[in-house]
Amino acid sequence: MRLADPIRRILPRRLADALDLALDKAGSGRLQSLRIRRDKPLSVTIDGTERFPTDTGELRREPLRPLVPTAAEVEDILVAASQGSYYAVESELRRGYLTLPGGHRLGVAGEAVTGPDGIESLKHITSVHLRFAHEVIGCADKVLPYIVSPGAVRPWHTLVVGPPGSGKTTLLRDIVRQLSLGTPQAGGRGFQVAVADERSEIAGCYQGQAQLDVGPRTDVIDGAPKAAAIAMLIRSMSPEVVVTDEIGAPEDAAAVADLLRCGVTLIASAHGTSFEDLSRRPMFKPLLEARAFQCVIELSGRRGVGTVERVVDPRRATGAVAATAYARGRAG
Amino acid sequence: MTQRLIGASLIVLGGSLYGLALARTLHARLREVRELVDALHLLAAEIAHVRAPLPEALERVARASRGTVRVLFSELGAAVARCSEGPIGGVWSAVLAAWADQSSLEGEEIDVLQRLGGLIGRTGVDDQVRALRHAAERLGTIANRLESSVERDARLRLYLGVAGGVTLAILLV
Repeated sequence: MRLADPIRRILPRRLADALDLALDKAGSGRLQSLRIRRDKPLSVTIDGTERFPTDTGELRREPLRPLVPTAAEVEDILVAASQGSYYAVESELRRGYLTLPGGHRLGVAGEAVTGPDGIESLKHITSVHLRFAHEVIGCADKVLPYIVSPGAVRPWHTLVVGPPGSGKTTLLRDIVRQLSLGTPQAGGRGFQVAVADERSEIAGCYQGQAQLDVGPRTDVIDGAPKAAAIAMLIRSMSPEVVVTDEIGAPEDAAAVADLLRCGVTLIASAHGTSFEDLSRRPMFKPLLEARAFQCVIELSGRRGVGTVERVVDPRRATGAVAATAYARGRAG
Repeated sequence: MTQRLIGASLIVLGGSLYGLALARTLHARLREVRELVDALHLLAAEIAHVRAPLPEALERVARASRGTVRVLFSELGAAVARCSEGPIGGVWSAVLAAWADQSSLEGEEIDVLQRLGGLIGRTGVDDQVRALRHAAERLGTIANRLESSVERDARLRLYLGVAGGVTLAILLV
C-alpha cells in the first residue's frame, strides 16, 4: 500500500514519509481514510479497521508512540490542498470538505464563522479527514438488467436505497458509467447521462473535471443544489438520463416530480433501510404510491459494502408495501 | 591641447550620460509602480470574480502585464505552483528578493509587495481583495508622489551628471 500522489503532495513531508513507511510494511489492503487531528494521534482506516502509524513507521492497533501532527502541519495541509489559495476553496469549505485531484475528499473541522446566511467560513482548522475515492468498476453488472430492459428506449426510473456506507454512491457511479458507455441490454447503445452531483461524490469533480470514470456521454454539474442543477441540466444538455445522489430534502420533491413528468429517466439514491421504509416517508410516499419509480434497489452492508438485498418493482406490487423481490446478490 | 579638449569633452559626455541614466531610472520606477498597481487590481479581480487558484491567477496577470512586472508575476505563479509544503510567504519573499535586483523599484515599493506576501492566499475572498486594494492604493500614493517630482528630479539628476562631468574635467584636464 502507498499513499496516492495527490494525497502525498498535500501532506507535510514528515507525516507522508512516516505513513508511506508504515503502509509499505503493512502490505496489502484497501486504504479508506486518514484522520489527522491537531496534537492527537494520526490514524488510518484500512479495510474498515482503524490503525495508528508510529513515528518510526509502524502500524499499531493502539496509539503507542503515535505520529502526532502539529497545529502548523494541519494548517499546511489546507494551504497545500488549496494551492496556497484559501479564497478559491472558501465556498467548498463552507460545506465542510474539498475535493482533491483523483476525486479524493478532504473534510475539515474547526471554528465556524457564522453570519446571517449560516456558516460563512471555517478558521482554526483542527481536524482533517481524508477519504480516498474508491471506484468499483463493474459493480452494477448484476443490477443493470433490472434498470435497462432488452430493447428499451430508455432505462427505468430507479431508486437505490440503503443506509450510510452501504455503497449507494459507488453503485450509482458504475450505473452512470455503464449507461453512458453503452450496455448489452440496450444493444450496446450509450445514453446521454447528466449528473447533478451536489456533493461531488459521484464524479469526484476537481476544478469541474470528473476525476472518476463516469463514461463518455456524461455531463456533470458539480456542487450545485440538486433541484437547480437538475433544472439546468434538462434545459441545457437534453439528457436521456439524470442521476443524482441522496434525494430526500423537501425541495428535492418538486424537482423529482418535474423530472419524472418530462420524459427523462431519473436514477437516484436515498438514505433508508428498505423500500417499505421509504414508503412511509412523506417525500417518497406519494412518488412510490404513484409508482413513479419502476425499480428500487435495496442495499445493505450485511455481507460487506454493496450487498444487494432486493430489487423491487413497485408496479408489480399489489400495494406499496407488498413489493416483489427479484434478486439477491452482491453488487461489489 | 586638442587631446585635452577631446578628453574633457569625453568626461563631460560620460557625466551627462550617467546623469541621463539616473534620470531614466526615475521614469522606469514610476512606470513599474503604475504597472504594479494595474497588476494588483487585475489580481484582485481574478480572485473576486474567477476565484482562480493563486498559480493560475498570477500567471493570468503575468500574461496581461509587461516588462519586469510580467516577469515578477510569472515567476511568482511558477513558484507558488511548485510550493507543496508550508505557507507561501517564504516562496513569495524569495522570488521578490531575486526579482528586485532587475527592477527599478526601491525599498518602499518592495516593502509593500513583501507585506502582501504574508497575506496572499491565506484568507477568504473579501480579505484578499481588501489586502490587494490596500497594497495597490499604497503603491498608487507612491506613484502620485513620484509623478509630481519625477520631471524635476530627472532634470536635477541630468544636471548633476553634466555638472559632475564638467567639474571632473576641470580637475583632471
